Amino acid sequence: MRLLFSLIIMCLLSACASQKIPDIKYYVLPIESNTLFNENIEVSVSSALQDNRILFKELHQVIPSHYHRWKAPLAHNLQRVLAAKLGSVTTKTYIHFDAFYTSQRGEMIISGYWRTEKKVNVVNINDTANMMAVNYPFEYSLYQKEQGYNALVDTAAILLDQLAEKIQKHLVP
Amino acid sequence: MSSSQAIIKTRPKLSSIWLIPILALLVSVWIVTQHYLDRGPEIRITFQTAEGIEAGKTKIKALNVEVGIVERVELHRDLESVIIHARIKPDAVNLLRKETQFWVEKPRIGSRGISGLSTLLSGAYIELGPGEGPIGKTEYTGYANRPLTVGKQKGVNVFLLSAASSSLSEGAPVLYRGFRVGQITHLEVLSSGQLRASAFINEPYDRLVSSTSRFFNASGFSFRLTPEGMDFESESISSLMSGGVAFDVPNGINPGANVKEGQEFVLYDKLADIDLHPYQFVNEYLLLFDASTRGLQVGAPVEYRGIPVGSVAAISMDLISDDIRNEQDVPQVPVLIKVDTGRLVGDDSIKGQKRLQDRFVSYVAQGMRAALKNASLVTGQRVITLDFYPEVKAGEISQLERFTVLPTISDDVDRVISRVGIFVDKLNKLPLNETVVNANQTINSLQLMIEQANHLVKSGHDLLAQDETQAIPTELNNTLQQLQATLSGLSPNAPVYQSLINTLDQAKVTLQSVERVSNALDSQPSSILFSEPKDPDLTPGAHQDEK
Repeated sequence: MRLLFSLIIMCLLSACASQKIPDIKYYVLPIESNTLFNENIEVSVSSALQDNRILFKELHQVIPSHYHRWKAPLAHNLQRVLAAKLGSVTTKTYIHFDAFYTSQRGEMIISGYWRTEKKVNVVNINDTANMMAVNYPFEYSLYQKEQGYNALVDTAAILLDQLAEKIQKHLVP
Repeated sequence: MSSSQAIIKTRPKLSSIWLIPILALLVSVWIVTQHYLDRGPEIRITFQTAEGIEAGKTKIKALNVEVGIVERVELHRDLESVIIHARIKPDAVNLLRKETQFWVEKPRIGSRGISGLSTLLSGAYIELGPGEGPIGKTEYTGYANRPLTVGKQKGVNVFLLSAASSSLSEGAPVLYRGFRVGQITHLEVLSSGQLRASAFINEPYDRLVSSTSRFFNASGFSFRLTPEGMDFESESISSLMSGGVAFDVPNGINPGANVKEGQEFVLYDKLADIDLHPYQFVNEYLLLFDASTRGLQVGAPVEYRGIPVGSVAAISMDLISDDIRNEQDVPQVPVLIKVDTGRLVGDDSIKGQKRLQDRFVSYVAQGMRAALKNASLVTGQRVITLDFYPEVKAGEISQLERFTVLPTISDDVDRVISRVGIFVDKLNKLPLNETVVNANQTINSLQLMIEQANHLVKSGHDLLAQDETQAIPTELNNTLQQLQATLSGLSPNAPVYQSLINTLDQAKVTLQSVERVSNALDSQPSSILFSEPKDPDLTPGAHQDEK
């Protein structure tokens, strides 16, 4: 009888004991070293992306991870990466991200638009050439080769490379 | 032989049978005496008419208790009244005092409602109103109606004096803020032509009447169109029908001491008047104006430096006698004003009147004058103002017949016009010719001055041409560049700016996590105490086979 009673007490007490909580892991997008930081590049993200947690998009649902996060704010991180990649761009360029999602299927998607000022011939009062802002939309996606968050970061880096290349080609012919 | 002899017995002279009638007689004498002893005193009440009174039937009641009965009704010898003989019960003898009152109680409809309805069925009766005084009176004069003050009612009697009675009547109510607190008991016309009404204020309301209370006629209603709109005033409905007086303390005046029995009050015509002239004691002054008094009306305010202190009592040529009027070359218009002593010296008494008079004497010596002023340019209404005019000579208060005369001054438009006249006169006297010569000279010197100014401008031009002067813009430019350099320390590329942006970003992240916490608390308030670890995160690429 006494044994049974102490067992029950033990059971009740053990219910209060907490499990071990996994540590939070932080990630950064890789930056090439020895590159100049270009002040002409300005990056922003949509308000949905203003989150330090890595975001999954499953159909229309956005699921934030809890134990895996970006170390720096995403916009700041992207700004550093792209400014480094586009070191030779001399015109003021503005890049906006609407999507930066991964998924359980392993597909990483980035989309948004970039904008630069372009000389266009516009007939105005002074009849002179004018500078005009032009928007270029972009969307890239890629399946990661293996599962896991490190592979996600690598995949994102590849996509950002593709984007940088495209902009570079456009602006520095 | 024995012979029988009659035995002679002498009978008593009076048979014992007589005892019975004697006894009966004694008893009846005793009963009759007792009856007369027990029946109480007989009183005689004189009435104007015996309407509703029947001998042997009509009862005499005090507070609805039967205290006697009418025995006989007979005409008075003068044939103008009736005498009622009534028998009062012995135990009610105490009620027959000097001031006891009798009246006939029958159904009545009046301003105070319907009374005596019970007598419709029972028939009229004579009501005895207990009074005070020594016992033993047997001759009374009865009232046709219920007396206004019955017997030992407590309260205070005051007299109200007024020029016209308007619609006052005996029995009219005395109201305090619409509530009946007493009544008019008596009206009489004094030899001066004034009407004196006695008002009886019942206890405990007699305490509401103070020396500063003002009585006013509350009968009827007043309806006026004023510049502020329509104004409708009325006391209670019953006073509207039957007339009455009300009393109150005027605005801005403290209640005074309790009144004594028989104090006299002025009866104001309407409520508005008590605020216009809230004081009892006034000083009258006569003003003689040279100019027209058109627009001035009786009742117009008298203002002392803008404060209302009284009103215009009369405007009439008859105020002064013909002799005096004939002496004047240009007849002046006499205006009689009343100035409240309470308002100016704060003492509403005979002493206050004297003080006001003394004060006015010194004020007039210092330059106080009465003047006619426009109160409104639109309606043309005018008021009398008492104000100081430092430019006038010291004046004095004079006496004209029975009036005290305050000196006046023509003010307002008249004064302006006369000043304009003086100004024009002065303008005429100005030496215009000399002025023109002077002006010419001035213009000449002005020309000289312009030439000098030209010279000055030229030398200024020379100064500007010098090298030192021209170096100034370069120095200014340098300064601006330095300023720009300083400001660029705060530009988007500067380290200070970058660290500021970083701090803001971090703050944003922190706020987002706070938002998450509040969301979590919102959906599960207990989560702060009983939280479970989060589920493991999704793994990117875990479902690669789905692609």
